[in-house]
Amino acid sequence: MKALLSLERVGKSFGGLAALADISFSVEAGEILGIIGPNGAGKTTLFNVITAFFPPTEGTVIFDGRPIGGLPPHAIAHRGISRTFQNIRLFSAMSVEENVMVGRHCRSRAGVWRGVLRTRGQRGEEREIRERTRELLELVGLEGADPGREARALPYGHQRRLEIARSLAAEPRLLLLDEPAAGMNEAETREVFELIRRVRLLGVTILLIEHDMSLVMKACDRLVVFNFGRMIAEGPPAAIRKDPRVIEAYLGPEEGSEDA
Amino acid sequence: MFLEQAINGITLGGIYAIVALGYTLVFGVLGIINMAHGEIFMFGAFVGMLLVSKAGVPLPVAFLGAIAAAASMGLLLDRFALRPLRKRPGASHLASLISTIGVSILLENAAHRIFGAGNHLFETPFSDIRFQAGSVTVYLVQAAILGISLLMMAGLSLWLSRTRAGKALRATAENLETAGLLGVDTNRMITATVVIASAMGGVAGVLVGMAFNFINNRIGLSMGLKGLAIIIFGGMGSVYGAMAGGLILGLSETFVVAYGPAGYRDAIAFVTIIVVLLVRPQGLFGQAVSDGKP
Repeated sequence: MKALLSLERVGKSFGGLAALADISFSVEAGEILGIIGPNGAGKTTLFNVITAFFPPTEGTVIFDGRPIGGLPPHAIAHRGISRTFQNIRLFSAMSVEENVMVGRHCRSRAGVWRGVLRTRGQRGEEREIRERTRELLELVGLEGADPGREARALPYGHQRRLEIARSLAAEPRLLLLDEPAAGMNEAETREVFELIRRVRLLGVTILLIEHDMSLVMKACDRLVVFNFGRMIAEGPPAAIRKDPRVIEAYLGPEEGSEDA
Repeated sequence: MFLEQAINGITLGGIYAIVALGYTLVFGVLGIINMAHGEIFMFGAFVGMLLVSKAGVPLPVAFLGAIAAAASMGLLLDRFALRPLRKRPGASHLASLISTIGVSILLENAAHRIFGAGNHLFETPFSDIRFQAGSVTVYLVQAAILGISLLMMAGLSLWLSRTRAGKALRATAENLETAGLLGVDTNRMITATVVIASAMGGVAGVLVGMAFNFINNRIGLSMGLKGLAIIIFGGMGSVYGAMAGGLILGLSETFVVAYGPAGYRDAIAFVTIIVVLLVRPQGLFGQAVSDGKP
């Protein structure tokens, strides 16, 4: 296995405040790597740095053998990194189908003007996009939803699934999922994790932020633990479970009497 | 009489709608009013006037010329007044509003220098041709204006709803950052939007010349203010709001002149807008909350 994504001493400061410091780890192609840590540990900041939402202030991010620091967000999407958001960010005024189609944007060829002419190639491509959109909606379990419905009208759980479908439409090799089961009940959460496993079978490498420890332990091949913007542990779930630094980060120091 | 006035109103409203669309498209992606849009529209009108009245070319060629001139001005506006400000982290997005005001003053003065302050006759070749249907008289010019503005509105809606680029533009308008993360080159999308909006302004300039038979260097300001009022009325950033708002303003102005105190034309039109805004502060097609924006 080779590293699909590696971070080398990555840091991100806002003003004088270091949100991330000295982060180095790799994601192997094909694995599900979980990122865990208490609130405010810098997990989402890490996703923002990888997707160039804001560039790192230190270190390098290497994707598929090439550094991606300094690239604009859309170029990173073209390279094959896609993400979902902790608080859902669908295009709420656009339809279910259109949301997926926008996700497909970077994999279709037609430019700003070509759509006006509607060439045969264009029509063929459009049919293909529609077909692919249907497949993706089916994959995430939204085959029953009306594709013409406005995204904001979908129930919450379906919006999360739609966001995953949208990010998959870009045919990513690496998918970043930021708490995909946040706000869901137990049954819905289980379904989302089944979906994540299905996505992995498509050959997509997954980086997953999740709070629910038991779920993370079951779903991930390896875990990276963050606390206060630093990595405090890395390894297979079984080892992480027993790691005293991780237990301390989550539950507070053993001898301390204050609340965790 | 009534039917004639209705046709006059829709014709005027169609032009208003095209002007307002230019504002609303740019507002959608940049979150600012492009204060230079009225002046780009005015230059479109002047280029059209020069081509039709001075060079004597056919009207379609004048349209193409006005579109080319206005679109290039849009491109320059984005390249030199908007894009440099976008790249700066921490710069307020209102900075670009100020720079469009600067461009607008520059263009207005340039027009004053080049064309003078007086009125210029805009001679449409077929301005006398009219049709009579019973008591209703319709000028060919009116039919042409109406046809062109409806065609542009339909074309724009189709482009936005059907094409890949149109969808990307709507996605960019709804959430620039998310669209970028999904692979939309948002910088390119913004440039395309400013160019398309400016080209529409160029078309509107020729339409105004056709409708009023004269133009001067102040039409940018007066039309610009109407366009602004319409997008507030229709809902900021809403394409259908700009279309409906333009038609409503055109109709109400025309009927005020026809049946009421003509001197109050603008006053009554704006009172209508104020009343609508009291009931629906977000505008006709606006959304009460802008969700999804960080």
